[in-house]
Amino acid sequence: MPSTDRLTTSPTTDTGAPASGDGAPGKTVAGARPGFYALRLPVRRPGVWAVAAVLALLALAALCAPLLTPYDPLATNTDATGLPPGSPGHPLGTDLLGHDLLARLLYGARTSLLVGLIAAVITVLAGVLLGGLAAAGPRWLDGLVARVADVLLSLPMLIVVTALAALLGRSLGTVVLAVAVTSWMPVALVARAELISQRERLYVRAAHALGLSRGQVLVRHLLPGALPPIASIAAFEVGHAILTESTLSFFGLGIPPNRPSWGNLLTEAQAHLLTGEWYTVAFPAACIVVTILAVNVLASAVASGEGRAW
Amino acid sequence: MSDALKIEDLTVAVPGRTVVDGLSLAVAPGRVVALVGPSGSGKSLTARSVLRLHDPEHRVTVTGRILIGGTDVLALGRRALREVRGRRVGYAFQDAAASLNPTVTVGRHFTETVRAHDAGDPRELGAAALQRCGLEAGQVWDARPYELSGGQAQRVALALATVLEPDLLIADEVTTALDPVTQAEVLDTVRAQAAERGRAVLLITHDLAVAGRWADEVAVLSGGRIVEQGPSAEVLAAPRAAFTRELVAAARLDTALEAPAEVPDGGPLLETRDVRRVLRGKGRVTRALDGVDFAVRPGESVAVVGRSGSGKSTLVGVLAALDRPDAGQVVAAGRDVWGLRDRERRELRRGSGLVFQDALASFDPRYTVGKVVAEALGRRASKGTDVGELLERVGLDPAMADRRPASLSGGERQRVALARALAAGPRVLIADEPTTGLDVLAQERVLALLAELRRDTGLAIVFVTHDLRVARRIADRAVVLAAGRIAEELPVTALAGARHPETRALLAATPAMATGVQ
Repeated sequence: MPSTDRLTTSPTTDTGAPASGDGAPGKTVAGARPGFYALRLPVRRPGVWAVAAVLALLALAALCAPLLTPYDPLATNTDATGLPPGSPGHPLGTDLLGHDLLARLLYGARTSLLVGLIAAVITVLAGVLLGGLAAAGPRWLDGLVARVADVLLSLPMLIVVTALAALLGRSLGTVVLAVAVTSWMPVALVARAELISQRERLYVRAAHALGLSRGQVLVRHLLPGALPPIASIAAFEVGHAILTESTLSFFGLGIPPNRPSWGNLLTEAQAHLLTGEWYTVAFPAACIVVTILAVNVLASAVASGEGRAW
Repeated sequence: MSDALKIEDLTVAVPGRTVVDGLSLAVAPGRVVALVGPSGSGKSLTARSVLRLHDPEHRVTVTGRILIGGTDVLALGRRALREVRGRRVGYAFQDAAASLNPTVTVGRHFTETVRAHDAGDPRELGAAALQRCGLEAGQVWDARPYELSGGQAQRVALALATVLEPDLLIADEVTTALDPVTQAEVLDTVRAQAAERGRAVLLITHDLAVAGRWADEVAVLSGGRIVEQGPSAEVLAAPRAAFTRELVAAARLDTALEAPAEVPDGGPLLETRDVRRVLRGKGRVTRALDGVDFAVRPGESVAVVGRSGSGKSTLVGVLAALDRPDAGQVVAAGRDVWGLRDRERRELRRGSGLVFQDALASFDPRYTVGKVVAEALGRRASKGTDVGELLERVGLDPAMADRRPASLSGGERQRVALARALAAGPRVLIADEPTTGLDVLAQERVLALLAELRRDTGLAIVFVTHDLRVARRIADRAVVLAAGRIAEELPVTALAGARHPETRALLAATPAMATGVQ
């Protein structure tokens, strides 16, 4: 019975069920199908816990940035330029303008993680909303959403984003919008397909027979059923958004240069790539790689716990 | 003559429970042996053990000996086992449509099986097998499983199981979901093939009447043991074991359950007037209902009978105000349902309770029993009626509220469905084949419960079924549907003397138990 060794992390809909299943395998009823909850993480996979810890640590470091470093990430110090890692007072060194690299990395994490999270939330909300409208609305709306999604999926993301940046100017908001505009499509398509398949189930018919309104059926039966595959996509969207932010900033289309983000740090480090100051590139790049890896491992765990989206 | 199948001291255990406990059984070539028992008695586990088809996740342990033509299946290696599967033993499942792969054609299924055993030309063998099962190869070869009717799919599954002329055919509840006419056709084929080709058949069923009509021998299974075994006529006429007597007694009941002494007067609760409904599928249009006038009066019980595809379920959807007819009117409590506003129509739906054949699928898999019932109670929950009370009313322990429907037995699930249907305090209950697929004892309990509810609360019942015995037991009046029209309408007591060919066909195909006292 697969569900006995899983931890329910988010019983989003099932108020009547035990909220934490880790210590109560007896509560899982024989014959119950896995996938009652939106998110299930395999408890016995230490790797999953390790990456979760890494992510928590990164988030904590970003939150506590002012406590972890005395430096202002924007302040230049002409007495300490181009210091290598391990220099006294500057554990990760400084760049050519005398910015403390640790401070910039920590404050950059704030921007990058924030953008990733907000963009992913907006992406998922927009995707579910549009997918829901396509599934429940009139046929022309379904067609419209599908065609718009097709067009966006076939356009190179950078072109769309460049256009947006040109129109709106460089800002954090633009980056969030750019990520949302270019990545809601898979969420919407999955949400639409799930809702349509849920709608054909007998229990949805039974709910209508009880006299429930469409809205009640949607909230009580359709959405909870469609949520697990959407949740696993959502986890990937966070990683995708962080990566997109870095890409955009690297090309000078993202976060304004005066605000540190991991992508911006890479942009500034471009010039040093061949001059031996490897650490200006290595640290922000490592942060991005570690974060994306961790998020994706977590997302795969969610996906395999559910096993329907992939 | 040596037996085609010989099971000796078979024990099948799942973690924590021994399901089959020392079962022995033999099937001789050319004989049809029925393994009969209620749900949960271990029938299917026994059948699956013969080919070792258990789901590895369930950690089933099988001990004993299963000899097929002298070879012990349980001792075979994988490769040798594959030789046995398909070639020497054919297996047909209950849900034929689900046992076929919807993405490939029927022909591909045959090709696959024949090639796996290098047995010759797939087309030729497949066509012959289909022919034996009463199908034209030309018609179904290129079809995909979902394009077939239930009866066709079951025949294809049988043809597929017998394409390599196995010595043994295992038919696991193959006709449970079929209407009596189709069931009779399918089982006649199985029997004829057994006799002609000297094939042994192990027929798994929960229906004693089916066993009596189509099997040579009956083995009655209870609690994992065979309690009685012998020629079917003898066992059914003079059952010796207490359990068999109980089963036979339940299966013989075909007189009406006690009806309410007086039926309240009043106009029809629900009525359809010249209702037509057309189903538009891929490439074909079916007139599911073609001018049906139907009415239920307060406190009465009407059986809607007919074969699959006669429009029974479509009528249910229309009566429950879920599906809009293409023409005609649906009138509930004197009001035209589809002339109302959405809100009022939803309110009307609460006036009729709906019960489905597949109770489990009608519950949200995330819900517990308590939540299922509580949802139906809605605002009434605060007015004193509570979940526990409702569960008690349908004969369930209120403590079951915390369990999930998937962990309940078929009969219990149907009671939960009934509790939900009754929650809103409806005046009419619409039940769509609620006892199909239940064994005779569970079926009898559900029927008795319905009769009791009707007596106590004056509930009107529309009972859709293809089983005439059940119709006689629960209803005052039978409405026979054929091809979307009402073929005949008559009191159930007059069913035996019905004239209409459709009713006669149903009667002739329904296996009957001798009702005389032994």
